[in-house]
Amino acid sequence: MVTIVETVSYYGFLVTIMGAAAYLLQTWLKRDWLPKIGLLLNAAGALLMLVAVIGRTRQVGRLPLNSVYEYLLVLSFAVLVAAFAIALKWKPYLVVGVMLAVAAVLIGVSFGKTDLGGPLLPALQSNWRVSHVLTAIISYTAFAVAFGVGVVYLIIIPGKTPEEVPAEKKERAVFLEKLMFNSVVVGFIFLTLLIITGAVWAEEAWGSWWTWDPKETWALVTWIIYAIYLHLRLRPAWRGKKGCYLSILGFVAVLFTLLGVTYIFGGLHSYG
Amino acid sequence: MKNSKIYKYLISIRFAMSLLAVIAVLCVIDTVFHVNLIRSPLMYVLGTVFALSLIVCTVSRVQWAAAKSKKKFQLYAWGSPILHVGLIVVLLGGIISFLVGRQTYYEIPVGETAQVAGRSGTLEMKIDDFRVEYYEDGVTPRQYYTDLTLTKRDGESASLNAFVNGPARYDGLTIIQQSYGWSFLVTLSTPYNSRSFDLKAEEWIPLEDGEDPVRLGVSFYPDYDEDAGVPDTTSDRADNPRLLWVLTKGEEALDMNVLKEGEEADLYNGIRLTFDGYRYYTGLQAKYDPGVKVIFAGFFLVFAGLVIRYAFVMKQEIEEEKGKRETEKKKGRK
Repeated sequence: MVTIVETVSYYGFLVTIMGAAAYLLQTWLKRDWLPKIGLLLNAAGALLMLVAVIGRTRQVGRLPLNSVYEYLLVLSFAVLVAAFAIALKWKPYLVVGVMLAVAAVLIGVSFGKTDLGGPLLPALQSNWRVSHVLTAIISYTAFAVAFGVGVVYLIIIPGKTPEEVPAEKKERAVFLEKLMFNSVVVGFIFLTLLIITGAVWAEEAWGSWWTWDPKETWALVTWIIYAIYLHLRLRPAWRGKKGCYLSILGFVAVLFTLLGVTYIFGGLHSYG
Repeated sequence: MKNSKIYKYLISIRFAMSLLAVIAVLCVIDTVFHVNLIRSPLMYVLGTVFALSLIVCTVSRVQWAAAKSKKKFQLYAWGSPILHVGLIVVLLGGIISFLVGRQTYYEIPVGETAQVAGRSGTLEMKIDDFRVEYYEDGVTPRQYYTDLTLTKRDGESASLNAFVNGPARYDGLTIIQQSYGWSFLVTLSTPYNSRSFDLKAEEWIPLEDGEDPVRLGVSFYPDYDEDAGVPDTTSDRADNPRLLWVLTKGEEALDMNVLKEGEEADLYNGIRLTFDGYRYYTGLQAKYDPGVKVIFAGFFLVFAGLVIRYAFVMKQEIEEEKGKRETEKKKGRK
């Protein structure tokens, strides 16, 4: 049986895809009305996902921060909100177009991961759960921004290093680089908090703060990738495209930690 | 020392990052291909070299921050050193855990005791009660509780409660609720003697000597399903508790039946089986690990350092932007 939450997120999915198309087409067609349509669809997508999140909250009688399905609903909502805010403030439509595409993929994946949302298992009944999952939402949303920027930078900015960037693209390159760096910083701070809250919680629930569970291992791999980005960024040679590759690689690790690990390896985090 | 090649490697960011990258790749290979690399000697070697590099880099960062703060204290300069000191503290905590931490798993029936090692020495741990709390559906478990009493050698004792996500803490010990099950008591008696057994799950007891003895199999069903064709339990609750016994010789089942609590069965040759009772046992992990507090202190430093380090960068950027906007405004006015 298809629930109202699924129906609403289905419409959210469609609207988000159209929004992504509007933002992306603007780059080539250069029509003034396209970004406005994009913004409108972006807002509609965010609203629909908010309705889905509220619907799920009502359906299960608690915050929807339990299974992978619920997590995907909240994360796609957060990515849509972040995209909308960035589009309003700085208008990097190509970047928000990529972010909307990411949000659409997340919603799309959620259709295959629906669950009935049974009561909380004893292992999940902890005050740490909410902070652990919320830090994951903020962190992964920020990394989604950095990913969008990374992809766009690689497409539109010529030259391997910032020195090789042509003068007319310099301002754009500096802006994108800054947006990517700031997003990674926010994502990294919350990823660190995510790992810490997870460790403190694991110590309480399982008596072991670190067990090399696949999800923990992959969270560490993600942390290392972004730590490398933050260290190497201090060197001029690593600004520009090399940093973009790391940002994209980091987000691949994020997605793998979120979905790949849960469905391929199982382990202690297989609640989905 | 500072001019040595090894030192130059250890203090190089590129070297440290390459090491981290190799560690990350090994982690990926470990999880994807199920090769045990994380606990391999190679990983220990890499981890040790990384720890050395971390220490050397941290010392140099502390020196840098101290130099920056010579005239006036500069908080931002301390972000990165604090973060890296935090990582070293986490590693130190890990070493303390490895050296002095201990963890033992116990399965203790309600009413029984076990000896556990705390900070002050050996303590007696008595299980007073174990309960399962269910959701309204009566099937899905909501929480598992163990009431226990810990008594020190000098007689000081504490009554505590442990549940999933709510460990009991006393005398440096953390007691974690991890498992549970049913334990049951049976007595085997002949006209001349008798012997009692305290069992868990299914057990097989040989009743004779020799190569192919008659064996007694006993298992406990908390909610015995009378209608199912095969022995089964409807739920995990003791709503219809039964002891199932089977008598076998080789592959052949000689006899079988179920008993209620307090009932007896004549097996053979005057051997009688009595089902004396049943009770929960609780599975507890008792952990004594002073390293954990050190590790958590390290986490705090890592996070604090990170916030100090990047809050400053953000603040600087916001100020730059403000300055830019003001200059633009001034230009506009002109």
